[in-house]
Amino acid sequence: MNKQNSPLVKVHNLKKYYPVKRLFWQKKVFLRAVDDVSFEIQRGETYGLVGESGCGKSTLGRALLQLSKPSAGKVFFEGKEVTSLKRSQLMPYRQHMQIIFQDPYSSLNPRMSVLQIIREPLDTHKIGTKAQRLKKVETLIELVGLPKHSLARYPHEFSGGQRQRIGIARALTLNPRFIVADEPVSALDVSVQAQVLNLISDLRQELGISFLFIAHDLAVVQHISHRVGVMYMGKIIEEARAADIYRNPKHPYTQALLAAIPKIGQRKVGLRKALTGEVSSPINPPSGCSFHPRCPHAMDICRRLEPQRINAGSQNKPHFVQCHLN
Amino acid sequence: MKTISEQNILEVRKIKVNFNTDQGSVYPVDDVSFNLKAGDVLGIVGESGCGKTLTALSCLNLVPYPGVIRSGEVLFKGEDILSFPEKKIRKIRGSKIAMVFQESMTALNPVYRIGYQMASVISRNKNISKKQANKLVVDSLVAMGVPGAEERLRDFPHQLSGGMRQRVLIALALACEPELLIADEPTTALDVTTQSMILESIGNIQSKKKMATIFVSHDLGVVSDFCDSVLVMYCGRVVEKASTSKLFSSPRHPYTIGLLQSIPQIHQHSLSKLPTIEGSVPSLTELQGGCRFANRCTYARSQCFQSEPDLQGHNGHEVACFFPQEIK
Repeated sequence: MNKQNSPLVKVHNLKKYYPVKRLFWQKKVFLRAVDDVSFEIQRGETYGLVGESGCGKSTLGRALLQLSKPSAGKVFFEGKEVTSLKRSQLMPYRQHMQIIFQDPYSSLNPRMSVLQIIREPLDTHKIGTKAQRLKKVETLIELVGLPKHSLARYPHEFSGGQRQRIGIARALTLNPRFIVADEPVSALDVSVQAQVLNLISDLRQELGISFLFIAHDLAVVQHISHRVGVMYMGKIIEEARAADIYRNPKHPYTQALLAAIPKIGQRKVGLRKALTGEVSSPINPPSGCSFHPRCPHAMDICRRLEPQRINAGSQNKPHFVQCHLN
Repeated sequence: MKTISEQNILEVRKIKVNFNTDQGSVYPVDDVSFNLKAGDVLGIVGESGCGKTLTALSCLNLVPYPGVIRSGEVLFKGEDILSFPEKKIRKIRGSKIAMVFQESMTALNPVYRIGYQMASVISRNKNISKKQANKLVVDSLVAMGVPGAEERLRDFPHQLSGGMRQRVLIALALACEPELLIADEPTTALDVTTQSMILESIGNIQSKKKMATIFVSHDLGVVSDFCDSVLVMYCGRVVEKASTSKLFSSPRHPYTIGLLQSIPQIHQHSLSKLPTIEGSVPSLTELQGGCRFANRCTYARSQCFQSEPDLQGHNGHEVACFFPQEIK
């Protein structure tokens, strides 16, 4: 297989179910956090994943990196299936797949200096001599825009945006080819958010890293991604190029999400059609399409039959959607 | 003699909140003034730590220890509530001025059922029996769009979702029919669809009851959507004050401009660089006199580092800057 043209990451029918507490005579019940998800990420591409809290986007990111074992389905990294590998066999792949966490306050060990934090992946994978490791850490800290003298300091001495930069430097230590960025900017203020977003897109261009960019803010995702997937109750219900999904959303849920964003200079109170109801329970999902209890266009078929994923776009500009309307 | 123009329900005059810390004495709210008419919605925006929540809390004299309001006046219908004894101000809190907090889980008592805790607050504030209060509870929950309101009364706070808890809090604040509602980031922890439903409900009740509202938020989009006028705060000071339409169409303070530009917009050309404000907010202990934004400002000149600009302007558009920008 041609290595250059094959997708960097391929996810095939990935599922992650969590068993729910029950009494021993009761039926086994599962919470379907990620339910049958398939997608691909190309080299150098940023794939944005949006959805509301609890829709399974973080679980998907973690299952993809094998940080939690998927219940079913396969993940291919550079054509090699990583889901069936043992822990020890996975080690070489872990170098190439990294993660940036959401909370810059809890994801850095407060008892380690910045130098130790960024160097730790090199120590773990036993790469380079002591001097080489130090040199690598020094280049990284400058790459993410922090002064060299910050290496001797501890996480509590930094602001949220600076900590997130440290987290990014740590993820870059092993020259990864793929990074899952799990809500990297949601804990930051807008002016700092813009700085971190610019840093991430610079890194993508300079180092050619692919990103899975998870966020709940649609504007942020649109800004940074090539393609976007919208998740609802464990499924990717719509997927297309970023521009297409925002200009021409096909799924009623995507439309509602876009309509709900308050826009600067637009007064919508009293004018908008808000979604009704709340997200259904993922333990006991509704029959048919999982969005039908809230959908303004729900038809009879939506209650009975789960819609198939279809391509509503063209061959070279695919626009996948899971909805009976299309 | 205190004079007050009749239509202003709230006048905040030059309040200064002071904290004594190990690093010295700081003023996280410094010389903040604003007026609010009945039925108006005022937004206070700014990044974390700019003093917006403390400003809101000052309006109820609720600044937490060790903070003290050093000077200034908060005139509610012409009376300075900062001078009231605790007993008198308690009569105003909740019944005349109500507050909605950001953290719905910590604002509700986890060991009491929703119905019980709402009814006890309402019966106390409105001086009515529990039975009458119970009826009001249901009515106010329905008005906020809580489905199955009667059944919800038997629930404990942890059994409700974040959006529902926030509705309960707002319903509770509104049930006493306050003349002024202070909402401190009421939708920040919520998803966009839930946020839009809640804003819609507050908006409906607000315009129906002609209730004055102070809306504190870091989200410029929400403020632009919901408020009539806006205060932009930076480092404890108001840097710009204008009507919503003016502020968002022709911002004049470099900070406001930078803030607006750094928000990614849908339909903007994507994958490009976002304009940013370089650097970060200075620590209050490190302030050296001069404009607080000067070290991050691209237009700063020597004057900006020497003295601090005052808020000034005309036509209700005030800006605290020596060199305010004109943007078309």
